[in-house]
Amino acid sequence: MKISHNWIQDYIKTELSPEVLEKGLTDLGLECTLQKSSLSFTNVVLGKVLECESHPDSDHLSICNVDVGDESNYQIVCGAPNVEIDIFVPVAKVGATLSNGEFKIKKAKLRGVKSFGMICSGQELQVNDDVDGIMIIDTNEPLGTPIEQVLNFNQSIVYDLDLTPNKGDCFGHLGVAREIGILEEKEIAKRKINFKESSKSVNDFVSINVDATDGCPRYTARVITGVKIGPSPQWLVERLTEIGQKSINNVVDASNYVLMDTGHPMHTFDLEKIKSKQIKVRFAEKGEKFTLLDETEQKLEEHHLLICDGNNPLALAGVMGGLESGITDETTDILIESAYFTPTVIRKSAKTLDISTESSKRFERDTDIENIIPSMDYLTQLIVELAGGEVAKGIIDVYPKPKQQLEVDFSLEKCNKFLGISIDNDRLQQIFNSLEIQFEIKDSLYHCSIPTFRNDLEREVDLFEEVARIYGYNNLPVSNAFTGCYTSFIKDEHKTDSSIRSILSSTGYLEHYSNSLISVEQTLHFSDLLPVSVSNPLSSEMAYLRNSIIPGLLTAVSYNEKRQQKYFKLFEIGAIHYQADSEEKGSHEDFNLGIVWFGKSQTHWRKTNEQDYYNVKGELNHFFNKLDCPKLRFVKEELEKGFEFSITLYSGKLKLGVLGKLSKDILKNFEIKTPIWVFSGSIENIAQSIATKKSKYRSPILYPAIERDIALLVKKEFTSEQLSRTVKGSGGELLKNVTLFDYFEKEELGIDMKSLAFSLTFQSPEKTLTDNEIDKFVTKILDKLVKQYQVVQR
Amino acid sequence: MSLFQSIEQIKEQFSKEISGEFDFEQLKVKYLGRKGLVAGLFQQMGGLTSDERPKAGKLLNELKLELTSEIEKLAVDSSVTDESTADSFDYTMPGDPQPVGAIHPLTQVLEEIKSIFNRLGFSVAYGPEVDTDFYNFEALNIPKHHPARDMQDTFYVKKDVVLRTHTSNSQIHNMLKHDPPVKIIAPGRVYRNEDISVRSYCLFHQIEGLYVDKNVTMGDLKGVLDYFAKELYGKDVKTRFRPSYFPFTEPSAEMDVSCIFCKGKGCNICKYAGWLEILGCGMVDPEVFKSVGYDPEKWTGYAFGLGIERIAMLKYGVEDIRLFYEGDIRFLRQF
Repeated sequence: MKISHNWIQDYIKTELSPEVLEKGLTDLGLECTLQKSSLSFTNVVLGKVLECESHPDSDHLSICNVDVGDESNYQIVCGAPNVEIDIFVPVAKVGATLSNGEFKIKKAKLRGVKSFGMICSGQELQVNDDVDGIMIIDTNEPLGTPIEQVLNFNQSIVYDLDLTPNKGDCFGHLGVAREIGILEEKEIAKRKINFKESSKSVNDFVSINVDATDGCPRYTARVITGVKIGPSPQWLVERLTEIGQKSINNVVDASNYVLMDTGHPMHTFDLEKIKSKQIKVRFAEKGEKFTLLDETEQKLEEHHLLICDGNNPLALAGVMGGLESGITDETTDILIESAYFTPTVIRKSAKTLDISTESSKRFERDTDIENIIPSMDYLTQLIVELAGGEVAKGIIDVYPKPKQQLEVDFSLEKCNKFLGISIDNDRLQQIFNSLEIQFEIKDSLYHCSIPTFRNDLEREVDLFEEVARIYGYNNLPVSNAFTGCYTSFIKDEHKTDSSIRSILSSTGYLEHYSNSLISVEQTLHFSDLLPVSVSNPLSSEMAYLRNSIIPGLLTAVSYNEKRQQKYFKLFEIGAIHYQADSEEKGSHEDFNLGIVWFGKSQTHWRKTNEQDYYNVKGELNHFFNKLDCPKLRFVKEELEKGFEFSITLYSGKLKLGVLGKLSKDILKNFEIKTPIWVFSGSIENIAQSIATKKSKYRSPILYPAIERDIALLVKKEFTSEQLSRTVKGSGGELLKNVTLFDYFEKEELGIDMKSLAFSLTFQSPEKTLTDNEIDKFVTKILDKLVKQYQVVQR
Repeated sequence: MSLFQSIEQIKEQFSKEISGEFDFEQLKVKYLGRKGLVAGLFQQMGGLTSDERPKAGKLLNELKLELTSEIEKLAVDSSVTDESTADSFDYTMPGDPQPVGAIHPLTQVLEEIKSIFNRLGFSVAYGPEVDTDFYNFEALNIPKHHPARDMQDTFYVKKDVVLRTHTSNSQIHNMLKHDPPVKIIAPGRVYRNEDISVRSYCLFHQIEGLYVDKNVTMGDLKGVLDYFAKELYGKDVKTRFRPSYFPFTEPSAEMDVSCIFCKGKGCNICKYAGWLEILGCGMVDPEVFKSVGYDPEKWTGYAFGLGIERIAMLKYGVEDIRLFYEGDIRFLRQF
């Protein structure tokens, strides 16, 4: 909201500079930005056209002789159609600047005639939009006077406030003036109200009936007859323009002006359009239709509050008037409505229709019920002043249950303790006085009466804040003794995440954060878990929470592939969501780890590892070993959704995740051209598997290790894992390690045969093993392999 | 030739051989292999008398040890390949590529903030991203039809279920689970129904802090946050507190730090204010205590919340928030 510095002077003659006030208001909690307008021109002075003849070589240029009060006159060529002799005009002299310095006036030659300056239009000076000709000024000022002085420009100083929802009291110049009063340590002036009432009573014109007292605890009205709608005077237009409001006509402007002044929204009706002469305030009926001033037809609910002519809606209370009942150029008699509406009623009314007006914003934040009549009287005075008319005698005031003034008990001791300060009674009373809080002291407690414009001060703690605010947040002492308590410790459920990130990032993986809002199509790719939808999404592309970690990674892959990236590895840790009736909110959240490998290998002069299954498997093995997941197993199970090849990873019996290759259709969907490898797993299970591992030290064996190699010819149907498990199982305790070191297939071996070679390491903690002993072990292993897999030793 | 002479002869032959050119592997097999010269001498032991045998055994073992030791020394020489010592060896050719990974800048900033508060005795807690209206609003003193709801544009899943708009829901979850005292930070992802632009995204990350104990004062709040700012930005940084409004704290404040780029002189990043707004905070509102069953007469506390993206954007000079979520590896690799 914009607050004009000049306007504020009506309430308080400020002595502090605007810069000090800007900071002061910010420190009081009204986040404030100072906006000072500056003139767009320099060195433009008042001149008089003494001679004016047509340019010999032009049909529209004139050659003028202009007196600007200097020793000699200047010859200026002017293109305006309205230039003539004996007029006073703004003259930009040689050296002057226009358009904030963008345009500099120099000596010039126009079609062969010299010109020393320029006669300006209103638009060129940015004082109005007039482009039709030069500005002609009616003035008695001496020639050569700076034009800003002649035109009586007030420099505009505006405070742009970013108000928090609790500061309803500062939604007008009056409220901000009160805050400035605290800074200036001065009282603010009251507006003097002075107008005459006619002998005819307001009750002769209209009666008011409030059915919905819940929504409208107080409704007051005045009537003015015989007004003349017309344009507003310059001062009013200027004040409204300065704070960004448009001028419409004198009555509407007056109403807006008082709104911006006292902060209380009022409504003016054309009295003639209230045919029944009966105002009724009631809630709408379900489905009732009503066309607003902005020409939208609204379908109303039972919670919408209406101001009616009899039963016929005139206005959506506190939000917007109706199309039919507003002030027009023909209006002569008006009814001013000044009411107090219940904040939540107006809030709901405006919000459900997705409307926000200057009026609704203020009612939502609560208004001052005692400000109703002063505001209405000020508006009445202003309308009479601007548009004439007679004020009917008296006010209609429907106020069945007067609002109780807020009373709050306050303990200074508690306040000091809470804020960590030690102010005394004198200082406190000073603070209360500056806030217009009245108090009595009883038994060392302050019984405070809260001014009606501060609806936000309901509790003792609210007053603590007020004390802190006036005392100054920055003056509160800083405590630097940090306390902690063992009982407050909570286990970090996501500790594993840090290890995962650290291992993956140190082995070449880049961490990605993707948008967890995805399209319905993307929720169908990888998971049968029912996704959670957003009922008011930004777009259909972001209508669901992800139920798999993969789509976000694929979007990133596609993005990078399109930017000519050839090789990278990405990972993401994040929540996935799916429907779960067992939970109150109807959904469940799991944290997943996703990894994607893109590109074959890095371009290099030496052959480097290709990103194929065994490479990726190796990296995953390393990753999980480094994390300390025990008993890692890669198992082929049913094909995972969205994959064309998938392997499931287990730690013991705990499923860690799935590694695989995605189907062509999926890749097409994400516009990915290069085949990729993907892993997706559960953080919870990974963390759980780590927790089961017991770490215990084992001393290194002192005696030498002995290696033996065995080469086997075996049918392809048997896997290397089957063979190596048998080797381990039959090798005995002293077989410490089994490594597959060679593999090949050849036609000579037979189409369904392959050759596998294992290196076996034997070691005893008690002695150096002899060849004989080892031969026995190897024989036993080979016997078992022959029996189980019909291997042939090569 | 006696065994003893043979030993001497082998020694001589060995030293002659290694003074010239030789093949290391062949040499090793020739002398120490299973069927090598030394093994051959051991076989001759059978032909000796029982008197001679111990002496011969000793000498042979000495010979074996000596040659083994010599050969091991030679092994070092032979392992030095001529490749890298040759003049033509091009040491400038690139080494094997190792892709460099990175932790996301948002994680890095989050971890840094977490570690500062961990040092102050805050433990880490979490709240869910999808939550009920109660945890996200009601219990935080944001009733329905209150203008404070406009401060946060909300995504709804269904009636009374929302995508959390702030990590403050974690406060409620934790206070309902634990009796006071409570001293936690709660990081996480939050959502706002705002159009995506350079400055705003439909989601971002926050970290929430909450301390509830007996006799917690606003001075404690200022102390902890001032310490935090100095840890994060250096000890010369100044802080200032401005009154603000959050329904769940009273009094409420915004904390600014003196602009880290211009040291408070004014620049285009701080919009010539000299200050940067970095977090919101305040004393826990008694209504919040009531909604979790804490006695507001007995307990006081403070809470604060800050946006990770905001801190990261300032720290790295990132001007477009969307870069954090695109996954452009040219961006990610820089961290």
